[in-house]
Amino acid sequence: MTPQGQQLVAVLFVAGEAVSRAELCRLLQTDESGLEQALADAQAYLQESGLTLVHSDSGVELTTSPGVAEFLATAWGGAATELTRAAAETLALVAYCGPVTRFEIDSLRGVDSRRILRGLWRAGLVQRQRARQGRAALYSVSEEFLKGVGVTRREDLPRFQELAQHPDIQRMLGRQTI
Amino acid sequence: MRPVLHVKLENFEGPFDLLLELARARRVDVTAMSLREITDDFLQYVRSGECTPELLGDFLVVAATLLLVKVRHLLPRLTPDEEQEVSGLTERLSAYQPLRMAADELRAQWGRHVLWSGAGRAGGGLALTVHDVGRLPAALEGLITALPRPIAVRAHLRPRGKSLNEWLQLFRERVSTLERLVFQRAVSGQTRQDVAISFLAVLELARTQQVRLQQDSFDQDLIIQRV
Repeated sequence: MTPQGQQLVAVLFVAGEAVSRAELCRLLQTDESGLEQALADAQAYLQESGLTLVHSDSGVELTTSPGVAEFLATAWGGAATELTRAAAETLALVAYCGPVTRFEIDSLRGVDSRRILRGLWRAGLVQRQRARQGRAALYSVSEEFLKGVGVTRREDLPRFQELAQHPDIQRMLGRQTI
Repeated sequence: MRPVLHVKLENFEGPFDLLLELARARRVDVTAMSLREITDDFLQYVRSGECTPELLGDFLVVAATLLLVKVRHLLPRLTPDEEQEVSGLTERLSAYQPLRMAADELRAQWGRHVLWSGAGRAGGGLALTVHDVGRLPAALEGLITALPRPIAVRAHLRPRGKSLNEWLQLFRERVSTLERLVFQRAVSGQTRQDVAISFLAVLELARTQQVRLQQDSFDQDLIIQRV
C-alpha cells in the first residue's frame, strides 16, 4: 500500500469516527483526486480484513465489515433495536430520496413527521442542514444509519437506483425530468 | 351493497397506510375507481376511534377527499379543484406504495449486519451490552472520544463605563452648576459607548423638562441649558 493509503487508514483508526473529505485532504496534504487514490488503495488493502470504509455526507469512517457483523453480534453482544414502521418509512424516504425537506416527507407519508424526525435526529440517524437563507432545512441519512443497515454507502441500499428514481415518487417531489 | 370490511384493529401509521391495507384486503388496485369501494371501510375506521389522536387530523383530510370520490358519481361534475384533490390523492398513493415497500425491507434488514466503529461502538445507535468489567475502559474511551470538543473561551476584560443613571446624575449636576453646557465638549475623549449613553441621558433630561436643548444644525454644538 502507498504511504498515503497507510496514513489514511491510520488517521481513520485514530479518529474512531467519520472524518470529512476536506479534513482528510488537509491531513494527507493532497487534493480530491489524490484522496480518491488513497481511498481506493486503502479499500483494496482492507478487502480481506474484516474492516471496511463507510462513505457518507459526514465523510469517511473506518468500521468493521458486513462479513463479521454476525460474529460481532454474538461475541460482543449488543441489543438489536427494531425500527418502528413510522421510523422505517421516514428513514427509507430520506435514505432513497434525500436530501429532502420536512414538507416533502409529510407529503409522501401523508402524516405530520415532525416528531419522528426529531426522534431520528436525536438517535443520530438523520442529519439536518439548512439549505440557504430562507429555505427549508434538508434531511439526509447519517453514517450511523448506514452502519445500522450494514451498507458502506447509500448507493448500496437494496434497489437503490430503482427507488431513488421511481417516477411516481419523483413526480410527487416535483422533480420529474422531462 | 358490499358489506363493510371489518378492519383488523391495529394502529395504522397514517391514512395512506390504511388505504393500502384496505385495498390489499379488498384485492383492488389503488386507483380512482377502487377508492370508492374502500371509502366506507376507511370512514368506519376513522369513526371507530381506533386512530391515534395525533394522526386524526391527517386521517380526516383524506376522509374528506374520499367523500368527494364517493359522491362524484352523484354530482353532474366536480369542480377543477375537486378533481385535482382526487387525482392528487391517487398520485400520492402511487408514490406511497413503493415507499412503504422500501420501508418494510429496511425494517427487515435493520440491525442484522451492523458495522461497528472503534472502541465498541455499534452503528445505528444500537445499545452496547457490556459483558464483563474488562470492557468498561474501552467503552469509556469510546464515550470520551464521542464527546463534543469544548469551545475555546476567550475572556475579554473591558472597563465598565458609566450607566445611564450615572450619566443622568452627572449631567444634572453639571447643568445646575454651569447653567449652560455644550454636549460635544462634555463628552470629548469618551468612548463611543459612553457618548451614546450620555446622549440618551441628555435626551431623557430634555424629555422630563429638566433641561432645554438647542442646536442650529446637526454639525453645530448641542447646547444643554438649565430650565
